[in-house]
Amino acid sequence: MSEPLPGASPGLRIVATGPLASIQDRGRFGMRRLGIPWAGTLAPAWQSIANALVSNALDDPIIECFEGGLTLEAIGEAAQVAVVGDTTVELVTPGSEPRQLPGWQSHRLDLGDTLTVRSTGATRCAMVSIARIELAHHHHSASTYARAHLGGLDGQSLKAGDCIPIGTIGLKAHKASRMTGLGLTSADAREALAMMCPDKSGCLQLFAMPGPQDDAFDNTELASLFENTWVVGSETDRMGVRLDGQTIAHRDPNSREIVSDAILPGSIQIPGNGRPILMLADAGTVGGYPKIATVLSCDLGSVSLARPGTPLRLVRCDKLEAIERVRAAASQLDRLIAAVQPVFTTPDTQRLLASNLIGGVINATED
Amino acid sequence: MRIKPSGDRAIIVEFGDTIDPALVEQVRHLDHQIASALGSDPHGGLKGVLETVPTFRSLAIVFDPLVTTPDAVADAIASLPASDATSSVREYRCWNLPVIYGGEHGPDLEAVAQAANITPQQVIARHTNTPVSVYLLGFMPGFAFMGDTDTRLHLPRRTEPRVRVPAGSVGLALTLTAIYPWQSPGGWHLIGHSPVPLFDPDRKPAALLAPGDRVRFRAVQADEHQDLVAQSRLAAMDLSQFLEVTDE
Repeated sequence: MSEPLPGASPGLRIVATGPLASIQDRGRFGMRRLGIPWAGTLAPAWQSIANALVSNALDDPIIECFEGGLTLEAIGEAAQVAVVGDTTVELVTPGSEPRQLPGWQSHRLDLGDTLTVRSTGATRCAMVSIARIELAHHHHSASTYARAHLGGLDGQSLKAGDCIPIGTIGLKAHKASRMTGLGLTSADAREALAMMCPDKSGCLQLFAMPGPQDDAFDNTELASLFENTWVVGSETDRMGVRLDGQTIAHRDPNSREIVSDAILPGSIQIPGNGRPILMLADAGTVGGYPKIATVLSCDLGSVSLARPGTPLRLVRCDKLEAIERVRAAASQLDRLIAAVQPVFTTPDTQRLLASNLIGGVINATED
Repeated sequence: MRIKPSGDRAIIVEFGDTIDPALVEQVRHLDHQIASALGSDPHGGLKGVLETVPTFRSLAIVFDPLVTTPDAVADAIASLPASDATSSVREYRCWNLPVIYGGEHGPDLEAVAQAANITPQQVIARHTNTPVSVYLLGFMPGFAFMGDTDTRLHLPRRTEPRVRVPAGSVGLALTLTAIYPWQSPGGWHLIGHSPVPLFDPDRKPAALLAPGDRVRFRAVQADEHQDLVAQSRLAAMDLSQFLEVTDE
């Protein structure tokens, strides 16, 4: 292990950041009544997997980064880091050639090493977890809600020069056991990636229940919500995404707005112009446009991570099917978390890795 | 009282669809019943309930769908023990909040005047002459729904919501008025700007306004507005300057 630099607390320094990279944990619950949104990760399933790969609690904070551009440097001490997503990730050790790191497993960054997320592949977002990340809570959560300067390091998205502190308990001596970290097998990694990606039809499928204000629309208009193909609009952020396509007409002019009623991530609002807005993690707590339907919580990750232009379909379901689906998604995630396993390296594989010939996960049984 | 679905992790208990203090009281009552039940052990049918969100006319009940179901929560609500909570008189404060009206700060002032068939000056007069009270906090941190405004100022939301409403914008919609504490999307008609910081995470409580508070708006000119904007950028802005001194 490298000697800690005198005076430098262990942590990861942000050398460069792509657009809007931010710290997110599960969210800021219990304060919607005060107008404080949940915020929190856009895709809790990936956050859980990322944390499992560095032996953190599954709801610990992670970095959400959009597209490529995020570079982290280990300062003060070595760090263990995992990147989750369809990413291209590069590790640079001072004095050595850059090498590509396989995704869906954790890696050790020695003092002075830098890790760069070059691109995020099939989704617009990737997640970076850091073993023993140590962040203060603001209003019960570390999640960044930049609009009100809550969470994160200083209530804002990450910027170059920021340092994310990590705990001071030493890393396990992975080197002695030739264990480099924890990973998913390539089959499990494919399954985890598919959770956030369009299916073979090229469309995201989002299950949604009509309501709470489906009565503000005729049956034909409600049906058209589920019959049309929509496209993720260019106006998309952590708060919501416009669904481009046709417009949905309200039953009559008096149905175009309601006395403000609760909104949750997943609510599909139809404002007066008839263009649906699907609310995401930073959704405000109440709103005055009728909500024709609500997307299931287990299906919000994929649309939250989708790039503008991605086609999607809404699939109607009832409350029984909704509960079945959300519980099945939780079981699938439990299985993937349980399948996280040690990744070992041998002198041979080290040499191969150094020459960039191996990209996949090395199975524990090889050791 | 109607129970409506709101996805896999919430139900909405709806008492009506208007802005009416009687409905607000019914919502508050159910909210209190649920808080009492959750505070006692065991939670019974409310197991898995995570939080409630009171609004003018409804109460959203958010739950963990891995622990409970919409039907189980709805059944539990129907069989809650009666609460002895009566409407208590709460302490409230009276605020006097400065607003600069029209121009770049209130891009919809002219349109509101036209819709109400009065002059922009009359819109300002009616907004400043009618004290309002805070119905509830919601939408975003520090956002207070205040009403009721002068009847001539009642109008529906914009059909085309703005993608970006500047922080501090003073808006009108329905029978209500509000100040946007943060830049955000928004569908209210913007008639002015107030420099008063409504939410500061480092302040206790973080939100300036609380349900029940009374608010009167005061028209200010550019000089005073600029001065207040400069003050608001200082961490130690004296907020007591906005408290109205009442005669006992």
